[in-house]
Amino acid sequence: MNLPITSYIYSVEDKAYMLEKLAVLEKGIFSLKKSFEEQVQEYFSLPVAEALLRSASRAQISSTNPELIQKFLKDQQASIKSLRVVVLRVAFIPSNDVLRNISKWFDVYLQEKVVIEFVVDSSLIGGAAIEWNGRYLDYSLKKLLQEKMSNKHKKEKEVPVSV
Amino acid sequence: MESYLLISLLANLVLMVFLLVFMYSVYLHDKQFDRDRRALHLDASKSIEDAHKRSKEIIESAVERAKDTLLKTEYIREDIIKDLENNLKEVSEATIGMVRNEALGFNKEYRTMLESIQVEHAKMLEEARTALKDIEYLKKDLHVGLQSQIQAVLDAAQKNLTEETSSFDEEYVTLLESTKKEYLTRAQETLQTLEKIPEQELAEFRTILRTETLSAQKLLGNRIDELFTTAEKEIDREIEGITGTVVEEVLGKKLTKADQETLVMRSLEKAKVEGMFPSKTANMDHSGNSEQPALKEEQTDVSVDTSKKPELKSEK
Repeated sequence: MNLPITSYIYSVEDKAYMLEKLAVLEKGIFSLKKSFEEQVQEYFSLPVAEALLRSASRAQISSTNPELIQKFLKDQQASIKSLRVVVLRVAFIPSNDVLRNISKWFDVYLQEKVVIEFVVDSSLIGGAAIEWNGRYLDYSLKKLLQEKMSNKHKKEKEVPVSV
Repeated sequence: MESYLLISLLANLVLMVFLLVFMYSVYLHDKQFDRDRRALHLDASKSIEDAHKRSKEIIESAVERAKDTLLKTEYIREDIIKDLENNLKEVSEATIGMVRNEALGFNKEYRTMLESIQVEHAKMLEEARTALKDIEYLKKDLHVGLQSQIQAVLDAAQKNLTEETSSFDEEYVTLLESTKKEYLTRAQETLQTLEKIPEQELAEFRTILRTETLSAQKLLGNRIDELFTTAEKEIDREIEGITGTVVEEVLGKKLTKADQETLVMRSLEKAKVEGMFPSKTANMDHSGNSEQPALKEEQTDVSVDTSKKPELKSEK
């Protein structure tokens, strides 16, 4: 599997965590005590470390050349930073499975890696309010109920009153 | 050596003797103590018996005295009751006698009084009868006198009236006719003027009244509408608030995480349909080949309708 490092980023928290780790790694590449591979394996989980090393080898980055590694790491950081964020307001605290399913949905539909930011608001009751690319659409049950109520009132007002 | 042994034997003997004497004295002392104790016990039992006897005697004597006093009081009580009964009898007899005597006296007085009243009454009746007879005579005389007098007066008055009224009637008729004519002309004039004025005024008044009532009605209607709309809004707000909280409380607790997830996925699908995610590869699947739905068939139904709620798994 040739998955990029970004494929392991699902949420805003993951993004921040990954950027932090890459920054630490960048600082440590000039260290003579540990090799680049060793440091990558130390800082990241196994699949992420493997993905990073694989993409480094694909980019023909020599582990003995710290300048190239630094450039590679900067590119990785830039690619992570460029990931777009979709804000989902939901009424529950989503589990990791939910997060992955939603992320997968975006992957499939948009063909673009998207980072999800969950905002928990229990007053929404259910559904989600989505914030994407400067647009905001509310598909929560709360909104739905409000709409239903207002429609009902309008219909009631439209009925002619027999005097 | 022998002397030493002797001394020690003697010393032992002396000790033995001393011990024997001591033991004997102790024995004697014990015996004496027993005797004293027995004597004391005997004395105490005797004194208790004496006290018991005395107390019995005292009680018996007290009972006898009490009996005597009871008997005496019984006799006294009987005597007192007898005396009381005798006294009561005497008193009652005396009072009955008194009452009888007084009643007899009163009866006699009453009879004499009645007789005197009857006599006086008879006298008064006779006097009244005589008076009535006198009045009857007077009445007859007066009737005759009055009738003759009245007849004379009436004849005289009739004569005077016929003479005076003949001239007065003529004058009166002429006066009446002139005043009648005057009144008629005045009435006609006033009627004419009245007919003209009310028509104009009435028309003006009607228009003013109409406009005033219409404006008042409009104002009132507007005011009622305002009040109604504000009240309606307040009620709506309250209802929304209540329903919101109820739904939030009920649904928020009832919806499981799986239900929440399906609802979120449906929201995403709806956003996709509404074009929130414009993508150049929107009609392609992740492999980029054909037009396929991103999710399963059941998830593409984007209408989040609470009336057609999906089969929600309850977290029981």
